[in-house]
Amino acid sequence: MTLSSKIAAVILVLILAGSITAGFFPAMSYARQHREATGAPASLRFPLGTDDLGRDRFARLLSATRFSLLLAAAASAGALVLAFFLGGAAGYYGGWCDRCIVRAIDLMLSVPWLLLLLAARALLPLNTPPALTLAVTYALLAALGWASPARVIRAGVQHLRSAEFILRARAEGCGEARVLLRHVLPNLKPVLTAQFWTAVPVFILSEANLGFLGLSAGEPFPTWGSLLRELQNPLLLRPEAFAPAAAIAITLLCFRMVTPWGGSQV
Amino acid sequence: MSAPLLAANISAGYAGGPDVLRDFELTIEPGEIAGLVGESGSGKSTVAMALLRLLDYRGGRVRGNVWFRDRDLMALPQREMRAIRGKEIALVMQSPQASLNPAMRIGAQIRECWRAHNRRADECPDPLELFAMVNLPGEPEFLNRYPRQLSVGQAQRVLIAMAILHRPALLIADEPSSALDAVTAQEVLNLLSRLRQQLGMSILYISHDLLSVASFCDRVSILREGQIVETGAPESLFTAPKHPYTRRLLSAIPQPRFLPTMA
Repeated sequence: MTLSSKIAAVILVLILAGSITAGFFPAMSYARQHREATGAPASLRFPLGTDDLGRDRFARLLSATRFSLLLAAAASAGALVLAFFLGGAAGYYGGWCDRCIVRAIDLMLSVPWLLLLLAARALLPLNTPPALTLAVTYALLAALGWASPARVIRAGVQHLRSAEFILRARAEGCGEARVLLRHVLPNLKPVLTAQFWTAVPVFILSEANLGFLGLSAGEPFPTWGSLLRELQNPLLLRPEAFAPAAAIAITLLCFRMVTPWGGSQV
Repeated sequence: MSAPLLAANISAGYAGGPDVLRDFELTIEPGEIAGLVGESGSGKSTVAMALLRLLDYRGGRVRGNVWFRDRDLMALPQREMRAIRGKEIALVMQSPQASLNPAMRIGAQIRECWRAHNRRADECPDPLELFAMVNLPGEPEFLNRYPRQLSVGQAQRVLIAMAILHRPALLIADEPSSALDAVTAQEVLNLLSRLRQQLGMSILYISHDLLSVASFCDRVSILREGQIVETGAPESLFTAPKHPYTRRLLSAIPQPRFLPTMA
């Protein structure tokens, strides 16, 4: 690990730890309104000022960081589970199973999935509870983001399927489930890890795009994307309003630096 | 005379190609070391995989019968065939390092091998006792090593240890010494010979090296283009080879100028 990777890892840990810790302080509530100070500029009390509803921007940014990072990681894990089962089945069983799944992967990769996300997210009724909108947004990301990792996993499993040690496991008397869980899966760990870390920044950016268009989490939940919406209001365009954009840029840069492949697959 | 432990009459090949084995016939008696010799591409490894019905996993097909302990292995359901693989018929493959799971420690691989046929992991024999039988280090630290941390000879011994874990009636050794230096290869042959005596199992020893097969086996079969062309005791094959191909194999054995000719 290079020095820059170590620094990036420390920054990421600090960002995540800070955002999680902030959740334990009632004063840092993302929903609390300070009606006496709506639209306040940056000050010692409110380091990033307040929004037009009087909510502390800094507290909301910390909460948004928590939601965006943890939910992007959860969505990445969800996409990876789907990718493992589908890509794994294609690579392991081959034949018609492989052909069907490869066609599905090609289809998913050829669809403009940001538009698909927008359409799917826009179909939700306006009275959907905010927590549900948050869950649905990330579930959609997971449901649409499996195709790319599935292709890589399929290739990995195809390679493993013909490996000598897999044939020996069969000669030992191992059944299909045992071969998959004890011999194939552990050898896919580097591929799965790489795909996980590749998908997290992609999902963070996708959510930011959706949020900017008002199709991410419903109020009052803050995400990085929903905080970016403020930039659409020219009356609120102060330097501190760019803090969510800076947070996204710094985090994605750290992700690129901390992963051994330098984020080149993102 | 007792019934043979295994009697096979099979033809086998790979998808889209002609048969690699054609009316291949082989019998193995209980407690016998049977040798199978042939040049590269003659179908030796196909025999090993076909007898265990593993050829499906390599895109191959097998026809015929393999009688083993009064059961036709070709007619058994997959579930019953799995119960035989490793437990009654074990296989030692020719690439020791590639045949071990690179992501699993040696101790875990031994336990995994046990769990393939036994639900209770705590009943697994002590791996170190098993290692003593195959001349592997007896230190517990050895169990924590990964395959990449072993020499080729050690990896081959680990494979043999795993193969004898269930005390199989038949051990198929597919060129177990081809990746080894001459001294280690001889040690592996001695080890297999000793294990046969200790455990009373039969061994099908497959190799391209006629000399090593003759020095080690009770009976030798010569395989050419998927068919057995001659079978006999090593002495008779060396002193009075009947088939021209056997004579060719014998004449191909390198002979130092200062030693008398062998055939």
